Amino acid sequence: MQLSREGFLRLATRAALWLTGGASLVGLLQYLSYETDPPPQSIFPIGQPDAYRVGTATVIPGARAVLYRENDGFWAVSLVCSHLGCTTEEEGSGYRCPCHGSRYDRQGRVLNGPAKQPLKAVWVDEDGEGDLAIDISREAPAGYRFVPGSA
Amino acid sequence: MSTRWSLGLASLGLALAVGAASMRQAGPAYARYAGRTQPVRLIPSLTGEPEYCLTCHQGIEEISAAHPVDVFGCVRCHGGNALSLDVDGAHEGLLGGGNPSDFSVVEDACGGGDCHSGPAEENRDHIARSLTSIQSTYAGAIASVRYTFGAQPDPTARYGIQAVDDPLVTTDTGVASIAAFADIVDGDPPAVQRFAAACMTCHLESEPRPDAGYQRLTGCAACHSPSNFDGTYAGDDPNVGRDGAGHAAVHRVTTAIPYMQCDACHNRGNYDLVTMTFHERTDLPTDRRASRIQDYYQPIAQFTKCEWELDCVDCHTSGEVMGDGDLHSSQSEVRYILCSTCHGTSDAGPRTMTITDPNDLALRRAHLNPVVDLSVGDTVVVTSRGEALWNVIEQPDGTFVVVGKVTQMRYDVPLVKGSECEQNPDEQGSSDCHACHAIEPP
Repeated sequence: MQLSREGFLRLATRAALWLTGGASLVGLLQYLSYETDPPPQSIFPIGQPDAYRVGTATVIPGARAVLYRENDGFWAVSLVCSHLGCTTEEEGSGYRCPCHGSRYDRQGRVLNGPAKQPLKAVWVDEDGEGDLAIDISREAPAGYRFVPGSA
Repeated sequence: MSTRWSLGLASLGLALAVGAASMRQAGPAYARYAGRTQPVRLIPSLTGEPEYCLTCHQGIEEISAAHPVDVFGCVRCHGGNALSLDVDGAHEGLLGGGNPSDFSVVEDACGGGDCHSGPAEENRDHIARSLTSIQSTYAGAIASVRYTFGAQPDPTARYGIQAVDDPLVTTDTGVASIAAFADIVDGDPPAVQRFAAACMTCHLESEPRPDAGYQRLTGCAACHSPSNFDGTYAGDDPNVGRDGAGHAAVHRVTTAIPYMQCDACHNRGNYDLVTMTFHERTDLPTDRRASRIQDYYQPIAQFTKCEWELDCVDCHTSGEVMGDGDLHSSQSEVRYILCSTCHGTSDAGPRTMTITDPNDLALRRAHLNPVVDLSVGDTVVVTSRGEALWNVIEQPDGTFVVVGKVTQMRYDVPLVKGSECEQNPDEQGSSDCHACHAIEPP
């Protein structure tokens, strides 16, 4: 088959335009489908209340918090050191910061510095299906207790 | 050119441009350094701001247990552009180049009330103490040389590398301020000018001599980030060059400072005050594994066993080395460790204190370099100024052990009291003790 010069130019032009259009479309789709990194998680589902016996303290690693269940309800303390934000670790009946050595008692009160502020009490709540969740972005008031079914 | 040709060429150009953009998208420039096309995000808990430095710096050592990367990230200390994935863009605004502890930027990088520029009473004034210390000001050498050559009437410090004010003088020997030496040296005698020209590499703000053996960084890292003999990087960050000098051995800050780091400045030769030139020692080994007593120490000086088995930091405290916050005229004004500090005298054992406060500085320091398991109730040796040598610990039977801060080696500390030593308790200079206890190289 013979291709005229005019035909060749028309074909080349169309091919280039289709190529451009296709590549642009791919780029556009990539742009529109781009998923930004999710924001840091602040609410951590931690299962049914029955999973925690009265008198226990359970470290929730992802939340960097410890959940207590006592006779009067659930409460939680953030394990994030109030000095510079390292994650404290259990030591004896309290917590110790591996970075600079601050120590806290079980309630999160400072035993020794350099931290000056206590560990933060964080919110415990339940969802509609009765599962517990810790919200580390919400500071709980002093003496806060969550009683399942009270929400 | 016909319209049809123009249209064809324009279409071709557009296709090439879009193709090039697609290829660039598929293989971004940072992939050349990072070896990956997906950026690595880190949100340090201290800042809560995302940063992408680890895209290229995967594998770099955590700077210290007290500065975990998931808490501090990189940008809090190093500065730079946290979101850039371009090597130049990311490093724009980097504090101190690769060394944020350089004194020109240290306040921005390491300062802050909870960090290293807190109150003196909480012992968080590390930066203030460093900036006023004689290792930073070089005020002692400057005063001494100016006094020697008649440029000032006494050896009291008047000038330093930088002008520094000390609003709160706490010691008898402290001075309230010093001016910048560079501003006045042109009017000084020729010998002082030669000193200024030739001898200004011996302070923490200066770059070291370029030769192997002298390698150190500037600022805090001069001591706290030990270097290799040749100043090359030997860590695991694939994007820090391994060929050139000017690096710490690895990305690390530590209080376990090996004696070799001190020797990078303190044992490499002498200045000749006649010619104002530095005379390098030519008898030093070419690596840092050589025998200390035989190969490192000054042939004419005397050393006891502990001085060549322990590291310098095992005895010389932070208060001595980093200063007490005052501007001094001589290092001797803040040098107060004596042999008797640990060994006592024929009259008495060493001064001690029993730790009663869980906030005691000794516990904090032992936490940062946990070579001993120190706790409330333990008794440790203290200097005449009350600073704890937290690694020299009294045992239940009344004896003492010293634990190497670098080596973790334990040594019994012999006491003078009860021994055959009859040294006068009032004559405790090092030469007094060395007269009997110096050891010659084998």
